Amino acid sequence: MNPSLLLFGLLGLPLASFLLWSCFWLLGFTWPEKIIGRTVKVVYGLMFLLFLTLCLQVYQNPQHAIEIRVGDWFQLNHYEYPLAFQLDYITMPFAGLTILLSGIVASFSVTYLHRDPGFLRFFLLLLLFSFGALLVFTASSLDLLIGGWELVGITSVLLIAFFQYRPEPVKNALKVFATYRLADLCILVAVFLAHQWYGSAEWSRFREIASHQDGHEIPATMFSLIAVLLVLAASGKSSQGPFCGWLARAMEGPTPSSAIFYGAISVHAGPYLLLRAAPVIHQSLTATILLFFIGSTTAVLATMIQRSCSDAKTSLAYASQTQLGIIFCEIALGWHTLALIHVVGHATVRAMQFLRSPSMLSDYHRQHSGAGGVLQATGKHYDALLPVKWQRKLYCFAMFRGFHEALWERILWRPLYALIRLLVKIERAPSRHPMKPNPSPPPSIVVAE
Amino acid sequence: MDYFDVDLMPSSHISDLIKLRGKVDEARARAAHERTRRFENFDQRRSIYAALRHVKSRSVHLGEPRPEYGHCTNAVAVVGRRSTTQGLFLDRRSFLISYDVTNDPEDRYLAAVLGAVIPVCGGINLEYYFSTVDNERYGCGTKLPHNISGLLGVMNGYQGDLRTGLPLQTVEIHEPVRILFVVESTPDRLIKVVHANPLLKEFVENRWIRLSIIRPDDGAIQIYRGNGSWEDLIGDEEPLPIASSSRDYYFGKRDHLPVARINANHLMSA
Repeated sequence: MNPSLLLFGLLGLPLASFLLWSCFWLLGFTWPEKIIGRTVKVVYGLMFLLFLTLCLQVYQNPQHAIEIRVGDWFQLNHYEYPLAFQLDYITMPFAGLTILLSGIVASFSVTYLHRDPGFLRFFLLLLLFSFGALLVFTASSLDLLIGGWELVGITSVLLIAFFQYRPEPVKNALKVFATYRLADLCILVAVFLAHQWYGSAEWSRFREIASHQDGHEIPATMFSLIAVLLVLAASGKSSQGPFCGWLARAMEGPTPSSAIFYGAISVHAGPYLLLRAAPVIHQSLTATILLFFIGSTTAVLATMIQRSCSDAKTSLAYASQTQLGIIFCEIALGWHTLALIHVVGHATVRAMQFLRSPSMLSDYHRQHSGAGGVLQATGKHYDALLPVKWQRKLYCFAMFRGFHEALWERILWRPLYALIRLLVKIERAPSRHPMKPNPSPPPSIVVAE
Repeated sequence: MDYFDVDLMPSSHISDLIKLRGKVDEARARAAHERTRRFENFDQRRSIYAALRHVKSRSVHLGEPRPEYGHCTNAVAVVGRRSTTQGLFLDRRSFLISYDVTNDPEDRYLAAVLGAVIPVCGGINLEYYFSTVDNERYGCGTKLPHNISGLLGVMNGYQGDLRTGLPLQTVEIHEPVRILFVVESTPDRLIKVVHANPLLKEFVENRWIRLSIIRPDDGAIQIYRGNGSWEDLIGDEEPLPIASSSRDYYFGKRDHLPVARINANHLMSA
C-alpha cells in the first residue's frame, strides 16, 4: 500500500475525529459515554493497524527514509513552507509509542473518567494531542514540526487546567504555559536563523550542512547559535535545566493525562528534537557541552528531589526528569541508539507507573502482605553511600527542591513583577504635565487606586 | 469464595458440600446483580453470573474510581431479630444487626450492641452525609486528580492540604439523610440504655441520628422526637408493594426504590 496514504490515514484519523466531534460539540450536541468510548477505541485500533503496515514498509529498507512531499503550503519570495513528511528509524519508535500509549490511556480513561462532566473534553484533547505528537514525529522539517509542537503544548496546558473550577490547576497551567512559550520562542528563532543561514530547516539540510557536503564553509557561530536555541527548546519541553520544575506543577490534571504527557510522550518530544538536530548540535562544542551540562545537572538534582518527595506524582515527575536528563547526556555523547532505546523503555515504564499511582496504597499493602507481613527496610539504597554528614544537608537541599524555584522567584519573577507594577503605576499616575489645561485628574481614577 | 480444609471432609458429606457451593454461588451472583443496578456501565439484561464477573473485575480494575459504592445510600439500621425484616426488599440501604430481644431481659446485650452500632453506623452515615452536602469542604472532591501523599492520605495535584472525607465518586448517588435506627425494644428500656452511655446520649439527644423502636410483642413502631417524647407511627406501614422476586422489583430502575415485600412462596419453590 502507498505509504503516503497510510501516513495521511494515521494523521487524519485523530484530526478528523477531533474536528467532527468538536464542531458538533460547539453546536450543542453531545453523545452518550458509551459511544464516545467505543469510537475512541476504534480510532486508536485503526491507527495502530495503519502504523504496523507502515512499519513493515519502513523496515523493508531501513537504510533509506521514506519521504513524502505534499507540496508547499505557501511560498513567499525565497521562503517556502514545505508540507513534507519523513519516516525513518527515529520516527517509527516515537510514533509507535504515541499510538500505543495514547490508545492504552484512552481505554483506561473510559472507565476512569466515567460520569465526569469533562468526559468528551478529555477525549477531544487526547485526540488533538495524538495528532500533534504524530505531526512532530513525522515532520521532515522544523517548520512543520512547530505546528505539532504547539498543539502538544496547548493540549498539555488545557489538560493541566482540566478542573477549571479550582484556582490551583489554572494557576499552575498558566505557569507551565509561560514556560512553554519561552521555550517555543527559542525554536521559532532557530527556524528563522536556519532559513537565513542554511536556506531551509529540513532535517536533510541539517545533515548536509553538518557533513560539509555543501562545498562552502559555514562559520561555527552559525551552528552554535541554532544548536543552543534548539537545546533550550528541547529543555523547555522536557523540563530540563533552566526550565526544570514545571513538570511537578503539571500534576494537577487527571491521572491518565499525566501519564501520557509527563510520563510518556510530551516530555520525550525534547529528546526527539535533539536526535533530529544532532548533526548540527555536534558541530558546535558549546551546544554539546551545554546539552551535557543541562542533562547531567538536572539528573543529579532531580534524583535527589525525587528521593525526598513524599507524594506519588511529584516523585514520579522528578524521576521522569532524572531519566530525561540522562537521555540528554546520552545524546550529547553521541550515543543515539542508546538514547532511542532509553526513550522507549522509559516512556513505557513511566506511563505504567503513572497509571498505577492511584492504586499505590493497595499495591503497597498487597506487596507487604504477599511478603508475609511488613517488609523491613534494608537500608541498602544509594543515598546510604553518601557520608552521614552530607546526607542531612543534601536531604534539606532536596526537600526545598534544590532552591531552584526560590532562585527563579528571586532573579526572574520578582524583578519582572516589580517592573510590571512600576509600569502600571506610571500608566495610572495622574498626569502632572504643566501644559495641560485641566490639571486635576478625574476623581474615579484616584478612587480606583 | 474459598472453602478451607475441604480435603478433611468425610466422603459421606461431599454431595452436601457441592449443593451448598451451588447455592452460595447463586446467592453471590444474585447479590452482585442487585448491586450492579447502580452501576451505569453494566447492562442489567445480562445474566446474574455476568454481574458477578463484572463486580469482581471492577474491584481490581486500575482505572476504576468506583470499585464499589460501599455504604453509600444507607439510611436505616435495624437492630432486631432477623425475622423482623425477613422477605423485605431494603434496596441495600440498611445495616441489619442481629439482636434477640426475647433473650435479653436485663438489656445487657442491647447496651453492648448499641454501644458499638450507634457510633459505627452513625459515624459512617454522618461521614456520607457531610461529604454529600459539601463535597469540596467536608468531602475530598473528585478522585481524578488525587495524589497519594506519604502513603497515608491524598491531596489534590501538585501541592495542598491532605483531603478528608469521601470523594465525589463515592457519594454521588447518596441521599443526605440522618440514619434512622429501628431497635426492637420498648421506649423505656431503650432510653435507659442510651442514657447510661454518654456517647450514645450525645448521638441521640443531639439528634445526630434518628431513633425509633419496634415493639417486640405487637410490632408497633414509635419514633423518638427528643426530650423523652415518643410518637406512634400510624398508617404508613402497610400495604407494601409486592414483587415475586427482588430482580423483578428492581429490574430496569437505577434510582432509590421504596421498601417492598418479596413473595416468599415464590422463593421457596425456586
